[in-house]
Amino acid sequence: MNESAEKPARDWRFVGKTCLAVLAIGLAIRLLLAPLLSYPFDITYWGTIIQNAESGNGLYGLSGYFYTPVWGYILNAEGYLLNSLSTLDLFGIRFGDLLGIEALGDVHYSATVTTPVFNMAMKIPLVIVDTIVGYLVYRMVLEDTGDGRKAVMAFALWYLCPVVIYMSGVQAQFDCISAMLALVSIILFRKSHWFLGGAVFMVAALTKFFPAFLIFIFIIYIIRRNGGLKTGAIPFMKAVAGAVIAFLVIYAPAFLDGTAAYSLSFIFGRASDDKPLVSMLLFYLRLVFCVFVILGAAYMYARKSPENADRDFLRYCLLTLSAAGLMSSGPQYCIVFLPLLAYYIVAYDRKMTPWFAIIAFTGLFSALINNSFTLLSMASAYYGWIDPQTVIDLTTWQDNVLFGWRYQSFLIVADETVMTIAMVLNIGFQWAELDKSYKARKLRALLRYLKNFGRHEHESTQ
Amino acid sequence: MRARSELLVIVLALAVAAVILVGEFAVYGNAYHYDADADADGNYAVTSSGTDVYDATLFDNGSFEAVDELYIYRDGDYGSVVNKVEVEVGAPEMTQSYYIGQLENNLDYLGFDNHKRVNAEALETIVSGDATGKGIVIIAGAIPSTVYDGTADSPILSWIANGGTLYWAGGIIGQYVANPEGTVEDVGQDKQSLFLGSECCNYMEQPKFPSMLKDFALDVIDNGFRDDLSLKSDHVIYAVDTSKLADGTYLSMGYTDGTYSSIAFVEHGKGQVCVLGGNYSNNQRMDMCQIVAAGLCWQSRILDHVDGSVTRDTQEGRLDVPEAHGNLSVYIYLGGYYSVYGERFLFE
Repeated sequence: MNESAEKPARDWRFVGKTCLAVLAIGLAIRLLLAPLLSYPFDITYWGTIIQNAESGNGLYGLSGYFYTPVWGYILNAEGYLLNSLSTLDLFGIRFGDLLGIEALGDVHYSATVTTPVFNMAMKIPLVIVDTIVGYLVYRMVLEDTGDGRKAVMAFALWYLCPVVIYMSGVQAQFDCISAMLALVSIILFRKSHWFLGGAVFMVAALTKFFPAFLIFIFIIYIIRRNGGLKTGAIPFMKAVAGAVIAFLVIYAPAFLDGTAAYSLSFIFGRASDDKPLVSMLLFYLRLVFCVFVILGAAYMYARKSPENADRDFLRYCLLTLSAAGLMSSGPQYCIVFLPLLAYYIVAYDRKMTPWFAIIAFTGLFSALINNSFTLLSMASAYYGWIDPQTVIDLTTWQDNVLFGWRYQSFLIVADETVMTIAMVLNIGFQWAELDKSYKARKLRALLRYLKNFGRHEHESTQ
Repeated sequence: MRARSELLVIVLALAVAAVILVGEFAVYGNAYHYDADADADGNYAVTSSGTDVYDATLFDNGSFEAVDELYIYRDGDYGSVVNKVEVEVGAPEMTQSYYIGQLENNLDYLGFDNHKRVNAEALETIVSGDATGKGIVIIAGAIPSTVYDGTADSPILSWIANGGTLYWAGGIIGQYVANPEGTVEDVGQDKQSLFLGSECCNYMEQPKFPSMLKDFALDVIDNGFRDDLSLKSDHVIYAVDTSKLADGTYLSMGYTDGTYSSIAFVEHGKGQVCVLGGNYSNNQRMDMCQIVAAGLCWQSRILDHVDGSVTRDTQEGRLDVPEAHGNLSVYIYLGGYYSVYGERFLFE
């Protein structure tokens, strides 16, 4: 435990001027974007989820919710608070002037636009979660390195990360909640809170499934941390008890009303989409690679000596989440590992910073391209700043076809290719620092060469 | 992490647990309560335990008696003609069974709970009985041979003419007869005229991929129904071109592409046929529930409409009832395009 973790130099405290400046800038960007840009497709579904529950149909009785229950509960807790304390009476309106956008035939284009007030109500909690995650990363770095400056850098990496800002401030996606819960479970296990750690882990896994893959690292950690199978059995059982109880509390209502199967439809829906053959092959290739990395990480971690197992816990969690976040293509899925990557960069390997930036910016561009000009719908519909026909015309333009592909598709494929490569290399770079086996030394050298953009680096003993 | 920070993490974990429990209560704990009331003088009251927009509409339905009993046809043994539709990633496939399950749940919260699933045999019994105040929903794309054989003498046509209401969605009405072996017989698209009096339905070839179907209405039918009922579906494949019908024998509402209307009520003897355009969709299903719950017919006219907001309270108001009117209905619903409750009141 680092003495300086208790009280870093004034400038590097969380309430010091540097951190507060980062906080102010990050908040300002989010709160500026939030009322200006929104992605109707996602946020209208958040309204539908609350609507379905308010109408007495639970999470799955009516169409609109396809995830495991946690996000639905969080949304409806917000809905309940809004109903109890606010005057937010209208979620959204279907605008006749925007109907042309639906005529383009993409299910993601909608003439139903949620109100600015509703959008802010959905985004502000996510902004708060971003801030909490930033604080957790700050504290983790401070404790482990004793360096307040590094802690602030890690906070800044996360809090000013473009794709993180976008997902909470614009698209209102909840990956930051998944990241927060994964971090909290990691911290709780580090502090030997087995029961609570197991419970939070289950909540994380039932928010978005990526943190679920941490199970292998967690099991190994608990057992090794407690001196082996015999002495580790009770802490392990406590963690299991926490996870099981959390699962039952979360799922009991869905089991009782027979709708539990619907909660897995998003996961299996992604896997069974009708896609062209090439896309399906790439999908399964990606899946196999990620599973290989996750299992490989667990294998490597299991072979670590107990003292190294504790020291490397976070690094193997990061490696696992990096692979999990790669499993499905989507700009927001990298968010689950970005907090730990920020930690890793400042604590271990600054040379990963450009790769963090590549992932962050390609994620942002991918989201912008995907969401496209529908982002302007709110400003058009409610503020009248843009003519609805202009929004339709712009969206129509990007739907023009060249060689059988939409313009938008070209951009998405190009951007997501770069992002995927960066994420795969991120995994490779981490692995290169973790696997010291002799036979992989040439591959490690190549990966370091790539990481340093062509500058050679000698193998470290870290 | 120091003790204070460790405590913060524990508090955070407990806070997450509290949020989840509050959310579970909000979802499954009957947390919300709504109520509405109206009388023949146009006085209404609407109550919400939360905060909601509300719409209260007074309809004059002429001489038509609103549908009070609804039969939803579903028979897995009989053939059907249902087009595949694109759904969002993770959404269940939009099958007939799924659609009907959703329809039932939707009708319940809009205050119309007198509905029942019936198979082909039961449908035969229904159409041989009294038709007034009764409705049948068919979304199978084909009508079972127990009640329809492609000719004007079919029992279902007599039933409609005697005062029944047929709600139809999916396919050209009357084109297919469903057989008990699971097959269908194509009796011709011209058979739509048996139901509608004219060949007036919008036919489009189904493309290879559902997303390639360009079937959208870009204009709102500006007679107040779309706004007052928050109608959503803007699809017009299989919908009705009411310009081919005699004046005064139909009511269209919702959206139009300039020719076809997303929803059309068409007079048929003493009864009516209601055609909703489009392949299966959640918006179509919600529209069907709204028009059933509101008790509409081809004679319906909006006499008055009030919208407002109710916040943890009861709002009262008054709709203007004219001296002379036909059968009246007041339909009140909460939530606008995100409806959460509905109730209707019938007056003569």
